[in-house]
Amino acid sequence: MRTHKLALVLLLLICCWTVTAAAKDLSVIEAVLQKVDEQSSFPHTDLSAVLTIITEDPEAGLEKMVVRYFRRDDGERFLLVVEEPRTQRGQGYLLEGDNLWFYDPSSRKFAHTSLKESFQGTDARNADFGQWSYSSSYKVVDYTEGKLGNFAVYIIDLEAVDDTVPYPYVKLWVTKDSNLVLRTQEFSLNKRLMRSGLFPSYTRVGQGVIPTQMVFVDELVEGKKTQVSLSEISTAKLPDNVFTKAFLERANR
Amino acid sequence: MKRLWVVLAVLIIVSGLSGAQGIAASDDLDLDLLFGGEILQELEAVPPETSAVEAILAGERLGIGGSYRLAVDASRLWAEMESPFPMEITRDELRFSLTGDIYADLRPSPTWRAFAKAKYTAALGHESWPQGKSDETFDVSLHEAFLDYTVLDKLYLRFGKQAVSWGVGYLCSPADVINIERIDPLDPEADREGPVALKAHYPVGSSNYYLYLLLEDMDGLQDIGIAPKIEYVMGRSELGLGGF
Repeated sequence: MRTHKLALVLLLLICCWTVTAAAKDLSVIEAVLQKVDEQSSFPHTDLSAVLTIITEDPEAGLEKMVVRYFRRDDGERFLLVVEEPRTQRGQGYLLEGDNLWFYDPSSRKFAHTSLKESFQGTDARNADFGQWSYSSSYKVVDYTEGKLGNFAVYIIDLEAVDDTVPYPYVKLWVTKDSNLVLRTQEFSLNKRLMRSGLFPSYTRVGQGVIPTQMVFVDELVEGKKTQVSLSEISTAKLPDNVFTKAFLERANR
Repeated sequence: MKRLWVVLAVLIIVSGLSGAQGIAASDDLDLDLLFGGEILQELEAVPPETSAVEAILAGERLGIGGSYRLAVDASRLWAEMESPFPMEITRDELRFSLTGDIYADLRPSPTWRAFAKAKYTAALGHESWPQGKSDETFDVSLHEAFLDYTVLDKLYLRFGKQAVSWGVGYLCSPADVINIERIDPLDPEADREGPVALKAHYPVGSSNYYLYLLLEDMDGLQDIGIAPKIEYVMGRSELGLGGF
C-alpha cells in the first residue's frame, strides 16, 4: 500500500513537471532565433576582413593563421584565402549556396567539401564563417532565463531538424535585449559536449552584426582551443568575380 | 540477471548525464570578465590604403619562394658467406639528397601576372663495396611558366606551361589525358607536370566554361589539341563534362 502511494506521488510530480514544461511559450524563443538569424545576415552589404586564427593545441603548440575573408550573403557566398603560414598560402574555400569547394594550389584542383568540416584542422568549422540558420535548422526544445556576465540571457536548448548542421544538439546563450549569441555549447547525438563557442565582441555591418572575436574550445581535447579575430573589416562593394573559382586560381602563389 | 540489467541501465543513464552536464573546458575561462563590458561596436569607417581584392591580387608585386627537402641516408651491410668461398662483406653507403622547388610570381597589376616554377634535385653519394665510388647528380626542370591576363574581369586567359585540373580521380584519373605526368599513387597530391597550353576560363554564376588549346609537341597548326570542359552545379552536386 505504501509503495502504491509513493508511486502515485511520483506520478503526480512527473505530471506537474510535464505540464510546467508544456506551459512554456516557445514561440517567444522561436522569434528570438529568427532575429538571431536575421542579424547574422546582411544581404545588401558585402563584407571583407582579415581573419587571424590562433590555435592552441597541447600537442602541436601555438599556431597562427591569417586568412583573407570575403562574404556576400546575397546568394550565400563566401571566399576564404589563406595568406599565412606561407606553406599553406593560396589554399582557399569558395561557398556558393549549398556548395563549398576547397582549392589546393599545389595540384591546382578544386575538391567539394562540407560546411560541417573543421577549418584547416582548427576548432573552427567552415560553417562558422557563413550566416547562421538556427531558426530553420533547429527546433526549440526548452529554455531558461539566466545571466552571463553583465547580460540577461535566454539559455536555449535546440535540436536539429535537418542534417545540414555540424551538431545535432546545441545550447545557446542569447542576450535578451539585443539578440546576440554570447555562448554556444554543441553536443553529439548521445548528448556529449563536443565544442563550446564564446562570442565576446560584435560589430555592426549594415543591418546586421558579425562577431569580431570568436573562441572555440574543443571539449574532447583538454587545452585545445581556437581564437578567431576579425580586423580590417570593410563593407565596400566587392566585384562579382571575387566569388568564382577563377579568383582563387589567380590569388594563389 | 535482472539486477545486472538494472545496474547496466543506471550506468548508461549516469554516463549520458555526465556527458551532457559535465563541466565544460570553457567554464575555466572567466566568463564574467569576458562578458563584463560593452560587446557591440560600431564599424569604424577607415578606408584602407588598398582594397582587399587588390591586396590579394597585386599586394606583393614580386614574390619569390620555394621549398626544400634535405635527406641523409646512411647504411652498413655486413654479411658472411661460405659459398663459393668463405668471405666477409662490409658495405657502407652514405647519401645526401636535396629536392624542392623555387618559384617567382610577378603581379604588376590585378590584370596581369607572370609565374614560373622550377623543380630541382641534387644528390651526393658514396658506397664502399664492391668498389669504393662516389656519385653526384643535379637536375633542374621547368615545372610551370605561364602568363595570366584577365579580360574585363570576365574572361581569364592563361598561356604557357601549366598544370591542368582535369578529371576527379584521386589515386588514378584515366580521364586526365591532358597533363604530361600521371598521378603517382604513392604520392597522389604531388604537383604534376602539365602541357604548354592556352586556357580560357569563363565563369557564369556557379558554372564554369573552359577551353584549352594544347600546344605540346607540335609540328604544325594541325597538331593543336582542343579540349573544352563545362562544370555545371546542380543542387549539391557538380557535373563536369570534358572532351579532347
